[in-house]
Amino acid sequence: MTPPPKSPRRSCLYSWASAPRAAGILLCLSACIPAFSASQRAPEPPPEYHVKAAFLLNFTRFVEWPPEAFPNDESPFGVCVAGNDPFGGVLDAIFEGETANSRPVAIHRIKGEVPKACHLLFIGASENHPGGLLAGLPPGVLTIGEEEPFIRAGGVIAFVVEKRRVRFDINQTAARKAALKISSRLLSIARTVE
Amino acid sequence: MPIKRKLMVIVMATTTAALIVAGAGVVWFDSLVFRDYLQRDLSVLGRIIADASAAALAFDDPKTAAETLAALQARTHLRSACIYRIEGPLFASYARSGEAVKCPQAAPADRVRWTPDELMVARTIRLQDRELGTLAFFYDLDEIGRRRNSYSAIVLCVLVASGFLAFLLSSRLRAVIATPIAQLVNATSAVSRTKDYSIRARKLSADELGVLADAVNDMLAGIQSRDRELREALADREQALNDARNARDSLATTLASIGDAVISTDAEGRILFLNPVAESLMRWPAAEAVGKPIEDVFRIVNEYTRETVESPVRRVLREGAIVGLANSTMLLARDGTEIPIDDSGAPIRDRDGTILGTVLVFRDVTARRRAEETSHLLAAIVESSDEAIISANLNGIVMSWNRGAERIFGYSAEEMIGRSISVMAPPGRVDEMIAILARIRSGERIEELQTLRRARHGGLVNVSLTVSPLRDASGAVVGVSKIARDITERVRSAERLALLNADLQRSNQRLASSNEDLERFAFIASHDLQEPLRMITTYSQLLARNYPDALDGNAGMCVRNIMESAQRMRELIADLLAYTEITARQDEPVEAVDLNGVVEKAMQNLKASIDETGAVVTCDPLPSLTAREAHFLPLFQNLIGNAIKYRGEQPPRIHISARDVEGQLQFSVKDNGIGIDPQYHERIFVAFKRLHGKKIPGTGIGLAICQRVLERYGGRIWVESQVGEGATFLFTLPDMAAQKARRA
Repeated sequence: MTPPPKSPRRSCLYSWASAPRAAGILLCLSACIPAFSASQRAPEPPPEYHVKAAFLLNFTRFVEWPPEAFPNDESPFGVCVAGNDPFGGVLDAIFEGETANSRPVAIHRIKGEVPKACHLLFIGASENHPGGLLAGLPPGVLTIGEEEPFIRAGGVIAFVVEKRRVRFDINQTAARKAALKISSRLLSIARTVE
Repeated sequence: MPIKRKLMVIVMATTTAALIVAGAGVVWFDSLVFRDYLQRDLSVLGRIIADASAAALAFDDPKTAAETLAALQARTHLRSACIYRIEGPLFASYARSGEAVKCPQAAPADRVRWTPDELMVARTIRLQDRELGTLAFFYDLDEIGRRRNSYSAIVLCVLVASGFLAFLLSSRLRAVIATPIAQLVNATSAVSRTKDYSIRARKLSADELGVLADAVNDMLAGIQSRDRELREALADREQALNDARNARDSLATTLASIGDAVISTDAEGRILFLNPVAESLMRWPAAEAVGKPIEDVFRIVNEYTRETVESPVRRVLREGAIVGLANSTMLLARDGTEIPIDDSGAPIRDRDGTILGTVLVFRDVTARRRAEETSHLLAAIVESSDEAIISANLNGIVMSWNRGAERIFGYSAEEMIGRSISVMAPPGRVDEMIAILARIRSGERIEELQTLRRARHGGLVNVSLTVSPLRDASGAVVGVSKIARDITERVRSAERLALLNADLQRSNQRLASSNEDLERFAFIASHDLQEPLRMITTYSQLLARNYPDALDGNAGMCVRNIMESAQRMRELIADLLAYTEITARQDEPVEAVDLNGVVEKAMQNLKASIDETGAVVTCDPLPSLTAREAHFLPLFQNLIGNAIKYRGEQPPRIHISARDVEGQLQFSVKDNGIGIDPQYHERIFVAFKRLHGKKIPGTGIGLAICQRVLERYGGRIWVESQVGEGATFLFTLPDMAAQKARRA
């Protein structure tokens, strides 16, 4: 089986994470000229989100969803972005042609109520109080958010930028509560595990 | 090397070889297996590490990746491990403690790479289907060498240990084989050392060695019995050999010391042996002669024909019988000496009768031959003697009787041998015979005894006897030898001679006186006859001169005939006078006569006929004699005159010479005249004998005068001639006579 073309994603990942120094330069660049780049081309997200988008896909590789999370075998894997979408088109590009838990991926951008078809829920920083969102979630949803407090609020994985590198924390209790089995390999990578 | 040691060596060598091969195989196989294992192990490890680091790579966490890699510390031979991003750059690395990280710049292209000191195994790191990067291990291969070394050490240890064990085992086990063998060896060596064939090998096992021991024992039993037989046979043989050797030694000694020459040959006729006598006879040393064909050494020829005689060896070999040589065989020795030999050859046969060779025996018969010759000669002399040669023993018994005796006495040898010699004694002479025998016994010898003996038919024979004793080698008288000469005839002749002598003497006296008368008569007659002859001549001449006219033809012829006859008469008388004068007047003195002068004078006298016939007379220088010229002048004149008178067609050539022959002076007068038939050579010297009658005038006294002259001087005259070839008159004067004549 030939894998689908991945060259844009690879170049993206590379531009971000090839070397700390290169990443630093890129990060700096993206920090210094957000307005310029936004004024030029509106949907281009900061490089940080290229990485995070890739991470989102990667997470699906290390997490096992309970079968009950899917209505049937043909149900797609739902990737949902709550609030403002910081990824722009990057997320679609990354997930395009990919499967998660051997299912096709469907990306949903949601406002307010979280539909049942969400298996991975990214809650952006625009949601100042994610607690409300998190509390009403059914099991089988991997919640990913930004910054440490997201964990404490009951989120499963929170992106942390540390020394200009994208890291993440994992809240295993939340994961257990959400009936998700997180691979130990992912746990070993995580910055902290609650 | 004893079998014990060989067994040990075999066991040890086998064990060691097997172990070495096995050890090498194990080490080799292990290194193969280990490499395979290593590769698989590393690839498994790679998979684990790849899985473990997939998350770190996926979430871009080199630190965690490095931590994961750090777990590889447990693999001490893993030199380094490197993780590359899919895009190429190095993501995380690991190096053995204390070593610097040695990761290539880019991920290796191949999956597995063996280098002599390093194994590289690379693995793609995947997250589900996605390739995230590459993991590469660099494995230090020191381990393989070390492993091999340690394996080798183990193999060595096993070798030593198993060798030791094999040694222990084999030293136990080899007894199973070596002891029965040692038993066998001990037994057999004891047998060969002591020659005691009663020793038996002990059977210690029922295997092949047991069978061998049984076989050896059987063999020993066989040998024992055969040995016994052999010993007995050997003793017999030795005895026989000793006997043969003794016989041979005594034979050799006999052959060496035998007086005859002995040669033995093989069946091909090559010399095997010759004894010292043969060596010295043939002049061939035995060392050189042995091995040569018999013909090369023993060369024999027939004494008379000088032809090579076939060697008796060849005849013996051919005929297989004993052969002798002909009597007249000569051996040619090596140096060419010829030796008469007596020889016989005989075959040497073995028990089956096969001819093995020949033996040739011969001896030098020179002495015998000489003795035989001498005795033959003596016998021949005795046999051919006219005289009777008789031998008898001391008892008078006849032992030998030769042909002379047969002839003289009439008895044959068969009749007489063994009879007493006394049968020959005439009556009354027996005593004489006994006396003679007695004298002989005492060693005396009787010579020239004239006596009478009785012959077979009763007649008496006058014999001259010489009787001598016969002695044996010790000098003792053992017999009598008698030599009897028949002197009957001699006795009779002597008697007759005496009678004749008396007669002769008487007639001589008569002759001498008549001769004297005759001479005197002849002289007187011839002298006295001259006077009437002169008268006849004178008156005839007167008649012819004074009355020439008175006489007619017939009367004149008569007168002339008278004158001629008177003339002839006168010559005759002169010659007769000369002839008689030679013997007469013995007492006349002699003088030195130069014969050259005499010849000169004779030629002067004959000058007329010399001139008339153109004769040439040559003369060598002649000696001088003391004689009378009156004798030699007529001698030479007659001879020269005759030579001219009896000339041939050519003018006469006459040569006179003188030379010394056996102490005598010999003169010759040689002419080329008509010659004289040899039958008349005697007659011409007799007076008045003439050959040619009236054809050639002559008195017939000339040569008689010559003969008479030479008789007077003790010489001789004769003629050598053939008809038509001239004549040579030769006469001699004894030197003594010449000298006497000269002295006188």
